[in-house]
Amino acid sequence: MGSGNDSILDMYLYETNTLLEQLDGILLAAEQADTFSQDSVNEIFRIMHTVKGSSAMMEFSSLMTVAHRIEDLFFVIREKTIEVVPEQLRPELFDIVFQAVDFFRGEIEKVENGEPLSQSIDSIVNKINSYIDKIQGNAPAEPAPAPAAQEKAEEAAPAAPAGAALSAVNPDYRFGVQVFFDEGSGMENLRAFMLLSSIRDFCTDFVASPENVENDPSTSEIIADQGFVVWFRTAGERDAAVGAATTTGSVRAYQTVEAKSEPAPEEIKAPVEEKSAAAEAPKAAAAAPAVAKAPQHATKESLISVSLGKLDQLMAVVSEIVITESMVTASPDLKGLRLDNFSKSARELRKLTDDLQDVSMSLRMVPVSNTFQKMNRIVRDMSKKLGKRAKLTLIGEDTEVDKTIVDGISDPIMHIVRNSMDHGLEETEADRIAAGKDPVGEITLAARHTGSEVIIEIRDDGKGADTKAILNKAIRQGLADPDHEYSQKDILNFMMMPGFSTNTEVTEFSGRGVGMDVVKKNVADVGGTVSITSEWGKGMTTTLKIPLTMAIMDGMEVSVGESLFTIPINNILSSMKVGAGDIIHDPAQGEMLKIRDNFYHVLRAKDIFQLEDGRENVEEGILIWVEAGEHSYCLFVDELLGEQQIVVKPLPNFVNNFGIKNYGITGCSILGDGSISIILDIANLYTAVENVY
Amino acid sequence: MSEENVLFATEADVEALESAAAEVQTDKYLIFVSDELLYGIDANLVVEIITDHTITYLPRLPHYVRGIINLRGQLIPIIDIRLRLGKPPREDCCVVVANVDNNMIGILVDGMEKMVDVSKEAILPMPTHSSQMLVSGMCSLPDSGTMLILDCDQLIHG
Repeated sequence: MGSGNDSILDMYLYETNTLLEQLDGILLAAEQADTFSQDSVNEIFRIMHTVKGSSAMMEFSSLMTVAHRIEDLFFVIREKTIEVVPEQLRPELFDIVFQAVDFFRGEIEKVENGEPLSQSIDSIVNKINSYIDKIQGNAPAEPAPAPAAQEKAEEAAPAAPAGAALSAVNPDYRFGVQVFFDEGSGMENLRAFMLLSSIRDFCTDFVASPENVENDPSTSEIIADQGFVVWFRTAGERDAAVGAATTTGSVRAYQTVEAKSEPAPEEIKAPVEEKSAAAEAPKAAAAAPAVAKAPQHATKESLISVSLGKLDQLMAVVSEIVITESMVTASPDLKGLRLDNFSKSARELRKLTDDLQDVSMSLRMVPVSNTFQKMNRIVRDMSKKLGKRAKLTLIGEDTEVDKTIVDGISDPIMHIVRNSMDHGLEETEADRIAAGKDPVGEITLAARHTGSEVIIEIRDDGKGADTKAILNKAIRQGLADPDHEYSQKDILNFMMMPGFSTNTEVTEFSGRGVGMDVVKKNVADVGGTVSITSEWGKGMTTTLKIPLTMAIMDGMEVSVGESLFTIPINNILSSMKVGAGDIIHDPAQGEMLKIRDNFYHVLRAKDIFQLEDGRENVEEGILIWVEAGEHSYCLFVDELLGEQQIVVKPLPNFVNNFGIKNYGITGCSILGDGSISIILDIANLYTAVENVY
Repeated sequence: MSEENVLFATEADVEALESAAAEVQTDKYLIFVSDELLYGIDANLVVEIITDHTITYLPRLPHYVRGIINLRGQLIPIIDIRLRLGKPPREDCCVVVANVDNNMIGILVDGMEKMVDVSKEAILPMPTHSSQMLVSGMCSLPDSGTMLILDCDQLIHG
């Protein structure tokens, strides 16, 4: 039961999120054009209708109500075309819909986190209602204007007062029960249908009014207005039905009714039909464009959604296959044998497993476009709020990155874009014109591949970083030494230190106590690095370098005594054999090596990891010159075993609890012969050692 | 064994069996030896028992975590229960792989004994809490001897 519900909830969240993203896109495009095309009005109507329906099904009533109101709003616009909205009211329309989208987002997030939904939707609902009034030219005095669809229905047939004498639909069925559902519960027709099914358990001989509740959603309104009436032949059957009604959900009230012996079926039936026809007409209109749209969608997206868990599983199995394959082909049993056919087949197999690995990796790859598109919204909102005009240029949106990495970099990118808007761009357009720039600021988001990495650049053409101010600030914060000469790169790096924020003012968008240091940390979590370049007066560029995937990487296998270690290839600058005389000692027994006019620490893996065996003599082992972030040093190991593509396996939780990640161990990989190699984190290893000394 | 009995039992037997089962709630324990003491581990937690393994040393861990093994592509940390209890290590031993709170761990023990069914009531608390670690209760076995019940949670979290 629980898992079933969860999967429905997952589907709901996925679907709603996708729809909201779609909606955002439509809105931004529409705002640019300052009008809604009939297509986008239809699309928004359709999206809101779907959100309303699925939210009602999940019993998220606040979501449903707001979606319903927006749907009503767009119903009006669709009926009377966008011309119904006067020019001067349009910005308000966009704001209202954007607000609603934000509300949905917030609520969906709450659902995701299992928090209770907010009930205070009055302000947004009132806003929408009064807006509907405005565009319809209604007197605003009318407190709760009925939604358009309902009004139409009422024009067609004035609603019979609830509880008024009802006439039976069929003279044979004289004993009725009239059921009212909770106000605003939504999907009344389906609730009525559920009621009918439970009645059917003990009695199948009845007539329901309105009929056809299962297939005709327009009956909802009738049921909401007049209740749902079921007529039976005998009073006994009806009493049983009353029992069923009380146990069905969302029933507000019910009453038994008896038809007069002289029924006047035409009286009630006619309006009902007329009414459903009236309500149905717009529905049909809604259906038509939707149907027309459908084939387009089919060709555009022949996609299925797969849970990330399954992809992870697939990836794990494929990794196992790759490893097992090399266990078979490199089996020691085969040593010294001449196996021409075997080797040929083994090569074939190798090629296939390589393909398999590529394909399964590509499954996890998603374009960064979604993340980039979200920034459109940020730029829009901030440029309104801050009164700075800015445009966002996206380059290389279709660059693909591993799904987990995309999730990891979304927040950092957002933060950088906010920073650029808030602090990067000049305060006023006059400043920009004075600097000889286009008054409209430009922020560029660019993504591109370079072999094993994805590079994402966030550029702004604002005023750039004031290195003097940054240095002064860093000195004030105690991050920098006032007597030291810093290079520009060093100074810009201060911006990424914890507790640094150049703006003294906390604004709504940036400066919430988190800064670039959090960006740096988030990016580092997915194995990437951040660097900043800037030229005073010309703008700033923040570059994120991120590995394509974290699951597989190229590593150099090295041995120390019995233990095997993997050093990521990207970290290795070179490896060298040195004589004992080349090592320079410092008073604290530290060792150093001079490479190209610079001194580097020599760390011995054997000592760091307190291994029992391993070579002591520098001449017997090998030094690997590594670099990670700002750290560069030499690691002394016994032997280089060779370069290999490895599958990263995270450490078991039990082991992680001992904090060995802080000692530069990020994970393990299983080698072809089944042995385990420890993957080193070059940056953490250095900081761990620094802390010891 | 008991399953076989159920298969060939008559209806009356089944009833008898069921009523017997209802009367005495039993738990299955796997008994292993470590330093001449008998320990019981809840059989529901045990995944498998392996004898052929190569432990890869992982640095910077408590001394009783001997390292990790590669069990069909899964990395499993190995806890030496002798070292954990402050006793000298031994070379020839086997590993009980257990799943405790979704943590797969391997417990290095001297040797395996057998499976036993123990009624819940027969499990008595330890007389003292201070001296013996990793034991959550104890119980006398039918064929002489006393089983100490291994506290797996403490093994992982403690």
